[in-house]
Amino acid sequence: MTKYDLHEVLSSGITRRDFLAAGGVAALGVAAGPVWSRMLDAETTPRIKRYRTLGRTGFEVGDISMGCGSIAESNVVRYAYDHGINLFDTAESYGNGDSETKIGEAMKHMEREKIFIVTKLDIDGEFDQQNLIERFNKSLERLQSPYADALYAHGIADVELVENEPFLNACRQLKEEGKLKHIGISSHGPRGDEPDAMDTVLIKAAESGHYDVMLLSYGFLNAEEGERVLQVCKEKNIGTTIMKSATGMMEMPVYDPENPSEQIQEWFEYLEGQGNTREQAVERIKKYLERENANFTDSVARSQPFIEKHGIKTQDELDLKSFQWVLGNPDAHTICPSMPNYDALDRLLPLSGTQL
Amino acid sequence: MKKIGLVLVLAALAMAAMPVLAQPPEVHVPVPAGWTAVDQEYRYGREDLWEYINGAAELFLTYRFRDLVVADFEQGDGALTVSLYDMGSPLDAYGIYETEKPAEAEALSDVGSAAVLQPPYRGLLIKNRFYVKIEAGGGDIPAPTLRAALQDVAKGLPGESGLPAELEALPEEGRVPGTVAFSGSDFLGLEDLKACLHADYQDAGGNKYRLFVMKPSKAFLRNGSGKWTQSSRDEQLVFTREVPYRGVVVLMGDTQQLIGVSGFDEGEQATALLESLVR
Repeated sequence: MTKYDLHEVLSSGITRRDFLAAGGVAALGVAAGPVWSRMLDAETTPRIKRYRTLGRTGFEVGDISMGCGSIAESNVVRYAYDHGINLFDTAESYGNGDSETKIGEAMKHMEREKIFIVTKLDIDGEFDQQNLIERFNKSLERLQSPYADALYAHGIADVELVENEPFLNACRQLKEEGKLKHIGISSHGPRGDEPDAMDTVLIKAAESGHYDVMLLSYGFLNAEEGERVLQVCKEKNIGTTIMKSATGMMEMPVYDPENPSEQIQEWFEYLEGQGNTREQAVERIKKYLERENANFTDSVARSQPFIEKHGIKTQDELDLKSFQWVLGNPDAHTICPSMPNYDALDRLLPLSGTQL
Repeated sequence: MKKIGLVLVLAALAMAAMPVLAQPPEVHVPVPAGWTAVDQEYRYGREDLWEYINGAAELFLTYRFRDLVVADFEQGDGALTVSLYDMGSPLDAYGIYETEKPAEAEALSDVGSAAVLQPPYRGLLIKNRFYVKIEAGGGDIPAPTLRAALQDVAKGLPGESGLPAELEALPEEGRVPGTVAFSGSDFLGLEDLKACLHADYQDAGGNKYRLFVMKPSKAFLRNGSGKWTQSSRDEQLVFTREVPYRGVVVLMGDTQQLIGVSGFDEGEQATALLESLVR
C-alpha cells in the first residue's frame, strides 16, 4: 500500500443521501459542456515554461519530463507533448514493453525530432551483445521510431556494471547504425545484496566517459548524495534527469477504533464475511495499520525539518514543494515524475519555471 | 444489464478497491522438473518491489499486488529465474497479465489459466491469483524447455485454472470479441477511474464506444479530482467529464455501482445509452 492509498483508506465516506443533499441534484440531465479542444487552450492550461540544456546531448529539455512507468492510455503521452513536455522516460521492463507501446501509439501526434525518448535495458544477467541489440530493436518497434535518443543501463547498483562490455559494445554498434544517439545509465542505489551506493555507481559512470546522460534519485531527503553526483555531471557536461524527488512523508493519520471511517467499516464487514470474528477483524486491521505506520516512521522523521521550514500542511503540498525544491537546482536538468494520467499532468505542469 | 453477472463483477471490484489487509499464506515457487534450485528464495512486498524491478513496480502497484517470490534454478549450463507474483485476486492477475502480454507472443492453451511464450527468453502465465514470469538467465532458452517449465510451475500452483468469471459479465450485445479487460487504475487516463472492468463495443450503426463498470470510492463520490460534473437523472447519479481527444465520459448508477461509457462527443448520447443499460 502506498502513502496515498492510506489517506484514502482513512477518509470518511458519504452516503447517497449526503451526496444528494449536498447539491448533487442541482442539475437534471447532463451538461453538454465544451469540447475537449478547449482544454488545450494555451491561455488556460499550464505548459512547460523553462527549458535547460541536457548536458552534452545539446537537447533543450523541459524542466519537467514524463516518467512513463505506468501509462494506461496513450493519449496521456500526447497531452504531455501538447503541453510542452519533450522528454519521455520509459524502459523495456515497464509493463513488459507496454509503456513503450503506449508512447509508440502517440508517436503519430508528435514531431519526432522535437522529443527525446529514453528507454532502458536491464543488463545484470548474462546477456551478450547480440541479445541486447535484439531487445533494443524490439523496443524501437514498440516505440514506432527508427531511433532512441538514449539507452540507459537500467537500475545499476554494482559499480562493475558501469564497464559492462556487452552493453557498451551494443550501444556503440547501435550508434553506428543510426538507431541510438546517446548512452545513459540509471541507479537507485543498492538492492538486496548488491554492493554499491547510487553516488558510487554514477560518479564512476560519469568519470568513465562512456555516458552522456543519467537518471538519479534526488530530493531533499538525499540532498548530499544527489549533489555529489550532480557536481561531477556538471564538470563532465553530462545530462541529468531526476527521479524520486518527492519521497518525503507527513505524519500518518491516527486510527480511531471507536469512530471508524466508512471505508474501515466496509473492511470489517468484508473480513467478517470471510469468517473472521469481529475481534479478529479489528486485530487484523490494527496490525495492518501499525505495520504501515512502522514502514514510514523513518521517512516521516526525516521529513520534519523540511515540513516545518516551509510551513507545509498536507501530503500533496509536501510533494509539490519537494518537486519545486529540485526544480530550483539548475544542475538537475529535468525531473521525471511518474505521470500516469491527465490529472497528474495538470497538477505538476504549473510547477514548471518555479522553484522553492 | 445482466444483473447476476453484475453482482459478480461488483463483488470482485469491491475487493479490488480494498487494501491488502490480510497477510497471504506463504507460497513457494514450484520447482520445474529437471531443474535444481540455486540459493534461497527472495521475497518482496509492496514497499520494496522497486528494488527488484525498478520503475516497473509502478504498474504492479496499480493492481492489488501483494507479494513476490523469486527463485533461481539451474540445469547444466542453463539457468532460469521464476518470479511468482501474488496479485491478490484472479481479476488482478488477469489485468496485469493482459497488460504485459506482448501482442506477438505465442499463446499456450494448456498452461494454467492462460500463458504465452515470448522468445527468446521469457514465458508468462496466470493461474488463480498468481502471475508468473519465467526468464532464461543466459538470455536465451529453447522454446520446448521454457514451455515445459511453464507447465510444471502452473501445475504446482494452488487453486483452479480458468479465467475469472467476471470477464463475461459485461453486456454481450455489440461487444467486440477479445476486448474485455481489467484496469487497476487510471482507466482512460483519469485517476478517479480505478478497478474498472471494460470492453469495446460497436452498435448496428457502426458507432464505437467503450463500456466499463466500477465500484465508486467514497473519494470519487465526493467529486474525486474535482473535474466531474455531478447530476442525477431518474434517481440515478450521473457523473460527466470531458476527456482530451475522447469527447466525454459519463457514468451512471448509485453509490455502490457505476456503469460508464466513453467514445461519444456529446453527453446526451452517452447518457441515453447508459439509461437503456441501467433499466
